Amino acid sequence: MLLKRISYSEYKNDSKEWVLPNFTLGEINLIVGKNATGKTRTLNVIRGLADLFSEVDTLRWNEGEYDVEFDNKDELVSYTLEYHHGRVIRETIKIDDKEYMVRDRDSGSIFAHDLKKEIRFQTQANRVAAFAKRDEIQHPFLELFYSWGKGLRRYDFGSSLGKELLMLKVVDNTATELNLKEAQKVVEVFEKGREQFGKEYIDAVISDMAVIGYQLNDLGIDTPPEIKIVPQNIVSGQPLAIYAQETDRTTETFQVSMSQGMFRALSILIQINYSLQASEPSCLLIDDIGEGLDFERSTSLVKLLVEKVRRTSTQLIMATNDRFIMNSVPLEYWIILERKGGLIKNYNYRNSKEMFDRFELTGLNNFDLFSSDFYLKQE
Amino acid sequence: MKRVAIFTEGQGELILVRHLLLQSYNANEISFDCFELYANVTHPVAYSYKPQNPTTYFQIINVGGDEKVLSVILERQERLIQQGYEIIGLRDLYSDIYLKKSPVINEEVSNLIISSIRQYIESNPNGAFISIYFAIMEMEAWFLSMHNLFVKINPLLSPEYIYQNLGLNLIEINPETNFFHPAEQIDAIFLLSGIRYDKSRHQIESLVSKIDSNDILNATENGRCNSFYLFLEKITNLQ
Repeated sequence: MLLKRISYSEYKNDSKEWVLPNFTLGEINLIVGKNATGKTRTLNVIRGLADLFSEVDTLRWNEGEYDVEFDNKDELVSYTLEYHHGRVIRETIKIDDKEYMVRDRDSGSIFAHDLKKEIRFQTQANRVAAFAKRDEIQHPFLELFYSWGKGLRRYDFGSSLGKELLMLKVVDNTATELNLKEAQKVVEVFEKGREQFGKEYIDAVISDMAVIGYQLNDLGIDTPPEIKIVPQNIVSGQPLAIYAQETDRTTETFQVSMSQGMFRALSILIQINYSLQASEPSCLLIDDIGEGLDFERSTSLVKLLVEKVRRTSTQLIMATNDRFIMNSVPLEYWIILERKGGLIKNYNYRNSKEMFDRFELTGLNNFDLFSSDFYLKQE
Repeated sequence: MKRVAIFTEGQGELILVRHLLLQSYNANEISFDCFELYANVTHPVAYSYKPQNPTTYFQIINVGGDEKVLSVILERQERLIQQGYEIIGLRDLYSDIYLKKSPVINEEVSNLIISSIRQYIESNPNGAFISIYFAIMEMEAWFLSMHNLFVKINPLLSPEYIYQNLGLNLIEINPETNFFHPAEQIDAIFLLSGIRYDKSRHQIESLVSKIDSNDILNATENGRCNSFYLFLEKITNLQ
């Protein structure tokens, strides 16, 4: 299921008002905008929606209004949610023209597939019915939202992406499910990928690293020589970290010694390769893509990611204000954000085709569109 | 002293602009330096002209590519405007982007490209200090409109001889609307005297040095070569 359009607002008519109207998306997207226009916040809104569908038992946030459309194999899946003071006011689901759920405050009606009729239901006002009413027999359509939410991954390329986190095997190690949404736990993800897919997985990461200019002979997990834990009895072994054997070096480089840029690239490729091989993620959100990488590597990374997801049903949503990234990503993938007070407007090929077409006739670099007011003057 | 920076897409345009300035102004009115952009650094090229107490100083910069003119202007605009320069760009309309849109002269495509670029400049905060002009479709169209120019290269190449051999009536024809790739027509004309038009520095210098005020008048008579007229008007009527 592909996120096609999202409108979001919170604290309407208040000094804290923040409104993102009709933010439309394609399969591959690059959100660009000057500082403080709302790139990260837009990604947060999408991530928040995914959490509401897949893991939030009771509302964590006070205010929010979503009006969302998904494309599910040519079906138009619509969802709306309005909540204030941590309590749902209204929630609806429609697929094409048919209404599947309408809920006002703590009660509503929902289509029961097995019963072939609408049934009434009651729920707590602080719970989202799309998640709380999950029932694969009676309401299979709710699984669409759950799968989308569960399958969404968010990575902040400007963060350490787990560089400082090692894996520690505790003695009392009860098996816990690997949560792929925790982008810092890259060592665990790598170990899982190695266990599940073996050489094929490691080769895929090594090959991707080569594409962006890091030539590696081997990748693995081991205890960095400079780290020892004492006393030994609280752990079953030593802390583990990822190492890379670079072709032009005679010793391994452990993650703590890698450059920030190299580790970010490695971390994201470890996680995305695992996600793509284990179960195709619904959506990848990557903030500050390419941050810390040089021109060649940042542009190669973006091209690689676009190529990887193009062969899948995964939607890619990246954000940047890096000049090199912008120049390397075709304008057809661009979404330019502009903020006026609390109103966030977006410009893309879907809503401003003529402007983008005209800009292409100037022969300028993509960045020159971003750095000018050309997109504003076309309104 | 007024300062003007003229960015041209190539060596030929730089040589032509330099010559037009000398033809259009009194000898002590203007001064200029010429540069070529290489690896994003400007290098002095032939030649500088520095009389005493000129009223206008020109910097003429060959950027080396039609679609680079605007981007080079954008990169340098802040500094130049701070130093008091007015900025003028000159490029061919013929370009890879044009070819993608149309393989022949298409008025709609021409207008769309010109208006898009001008709109972009207008959207620039420094837009008031920047203007861009187009040779339609190439600078060679302007040469073709100077119908007595070729005979100065070789006495054989009179308008009549060119018409008899190539069917090109240079006195009547508007090269702006008739030739998609006018450099090819120049090549055909040169071939009548047994040489190729290779756009070499020497060849352009030789051709341009023969342009006089009559040729400039011929170029725009009967409403021909409006793009040349507009550019000439701009560089000779600076506010």
